[in-house]
Amino acid sequence: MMPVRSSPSFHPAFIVPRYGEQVVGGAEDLARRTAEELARRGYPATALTTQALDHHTWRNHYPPGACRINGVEVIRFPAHTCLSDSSLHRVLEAISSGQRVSEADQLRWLEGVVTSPELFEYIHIHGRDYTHLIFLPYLFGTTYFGSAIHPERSYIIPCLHDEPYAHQELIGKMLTGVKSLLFNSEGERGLAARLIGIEDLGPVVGMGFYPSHGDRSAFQDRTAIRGDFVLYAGRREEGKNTPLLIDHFRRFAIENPGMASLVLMGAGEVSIPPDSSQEIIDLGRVTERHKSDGYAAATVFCQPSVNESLSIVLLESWLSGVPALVHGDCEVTREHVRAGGGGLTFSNYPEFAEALLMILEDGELARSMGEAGRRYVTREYNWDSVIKRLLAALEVTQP
Amino acid sequence: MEPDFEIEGNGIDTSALQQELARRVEERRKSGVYSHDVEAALAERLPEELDASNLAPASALDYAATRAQTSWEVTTAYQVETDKSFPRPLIILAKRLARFWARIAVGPIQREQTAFNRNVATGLEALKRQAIGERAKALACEEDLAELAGAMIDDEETGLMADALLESLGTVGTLMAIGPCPRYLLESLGATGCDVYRVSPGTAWDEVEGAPAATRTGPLAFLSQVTEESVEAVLVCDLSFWLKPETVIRLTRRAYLALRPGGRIAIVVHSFASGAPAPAWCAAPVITKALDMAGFTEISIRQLPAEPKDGSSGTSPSGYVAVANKRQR
Repeated sequence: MMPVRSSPSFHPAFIVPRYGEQVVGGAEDLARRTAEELARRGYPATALTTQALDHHTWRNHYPPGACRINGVEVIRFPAHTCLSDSSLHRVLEAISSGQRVSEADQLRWLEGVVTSPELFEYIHIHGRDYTHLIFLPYLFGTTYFGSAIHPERSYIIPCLHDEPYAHQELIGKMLTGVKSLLFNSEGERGLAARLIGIEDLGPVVGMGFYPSHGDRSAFQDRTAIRGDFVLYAGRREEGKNTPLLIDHFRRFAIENPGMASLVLMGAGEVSIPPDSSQEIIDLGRVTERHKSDGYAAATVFCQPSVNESLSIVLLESWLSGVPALVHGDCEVTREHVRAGGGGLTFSNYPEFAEALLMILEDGELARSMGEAGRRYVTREYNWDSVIKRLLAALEVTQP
Repeated sequence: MEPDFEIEGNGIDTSALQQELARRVEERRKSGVYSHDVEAALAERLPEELDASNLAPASALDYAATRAQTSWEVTTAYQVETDKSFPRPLIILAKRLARFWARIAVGPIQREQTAFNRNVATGLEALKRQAIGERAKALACEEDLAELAGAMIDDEETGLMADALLESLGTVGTLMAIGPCPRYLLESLGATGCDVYRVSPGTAWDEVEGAPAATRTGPLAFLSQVTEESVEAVLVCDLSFWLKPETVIRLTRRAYLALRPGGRIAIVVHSFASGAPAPAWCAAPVITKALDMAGFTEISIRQLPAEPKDGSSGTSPSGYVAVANKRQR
């Protein structure tokens, strides 16, 4: 671990629309874990956020004001949303269906989903008290309007996905208007370069992980799931491609009966066809401990999503030495697999089936790929390396 | 098979692995494993459409939900084939071009339709689960009702009634018990080696169109779906709990259709349900008439011995078993 030393010349503020241990979301998780890791190493870190807990309603859940969570100072401001306004939904619908919308409508989207005038007022008055203002993710008003207040000290961790929202002109202007961008992976940086047309927008920093201590037998005791299984962990929704995974696996199970089952973990509704209820098992939302146990017990981890900027769950599963199957249309996870060698990619059902068969039938190959994945995460995404990259990206003089 | 890729040093040659994967996929494609036949077979698990319009709502829902779950995904990747031998390659090529064009032309619409279908299938499945849950509750209520009825029947009557039923019915391999039935009767029948199938009165999901809302007609709806002349024996207990007089007539008629030639129907009415304050249509003459109207023959009423009323010279109404046969051909 790097030497711990308090640095008064370095006091970053992470500005994220939601923050808290109960908050579900990749960008929010990234902000919290990075801030906590900095605090653990003796650096003062602050999170500026709203009172919201969930991103469906943006209802003010937490009390306003300051509190401390795991060594990080957290200051919450009221969240404002216009999600009940039908005109906003028309704009959202138009953007998500790939239509070209005017800048006024893009502004309507960024103002409408979630903003916080009180937060912006605070940044305006106290923004210079912080050495760095780090905003994330790219698609919320908190980032768009907040990063424009003190652009000379603003950084954005965009957490980009290749989705229609990322293609809007205002997003491009925002990403090029701040001091620098910080990326989670090479794949995301490549996507940003493609979207904006500028090659060097900032370095890759990412997020760190600690070695996993999942317990395979604890998972088996609790769930009574035996034999080989494919694991999916994360939000279950169309955007994450879980229906595709269920569909592919359902067909695989018909063609290869008894070879493996599919286990799903995470929040969100999932529809399992009645004729596949024996092979597809839904565990719902589980604790972090249970998730680690699941990684340890899994034969293969599958990440079918094409909207990832880092894929925390993929890297976590590799830490447990589990080989992975990822969707070939996702630049980020495909790049992880290419760079680490921890799995295979698929783009259609035949590739999914053959890749799964290769892993299930060849234990040595599976073990080697899992180990390669573990080495990749340990090498590239350990906290020492990540914090070192973060400090270098923020031009902080390291002791 | 030995893999033709290398695992060495710090990692794995991922490009070699992906090439191997592509080779295997291509090999399997050539062998016909990944064909459109398989796609089509998966999309259409059920062989043919049934007319579900005459089913009870619960059954229609079950059918629709199952159908939707297996066919929500629409695709333009339909199978291309022809039985013409000589110009076959040309026809196949033309059809493939047409399919390719269709994919481009209707692809976005097809994806929207698939999303809609999936939502409908999910909704139907949720509705079906609700219906099944309500049925489970109704079944639990029926069990309670049967328990309560058991409290009104003393040990002497249970013994006599079981003997009377078994003697009247004779040897039966399979019996369908319609509606609430005291447990002792089911156990007595089971002890003779008879397989008993129970049909619950059901819930609003089992209502037949046009039936009074207060009348649970689940067994009737069930009987209407049973193949004609397929049931060996039918047992109905204590009608007053759950049937109105007009439904008694419908029940006997439906049972007649469902029974095979020579099949038997037994109606058990315990003493507490055979006289006032129980409705008059539970009386033996009414049941005899209803069975006669339905076409049953050899109708017999086996009356249990009457008991003296407490503190008076009269007797309490006694229970009975009515048994009738369907005509032989």
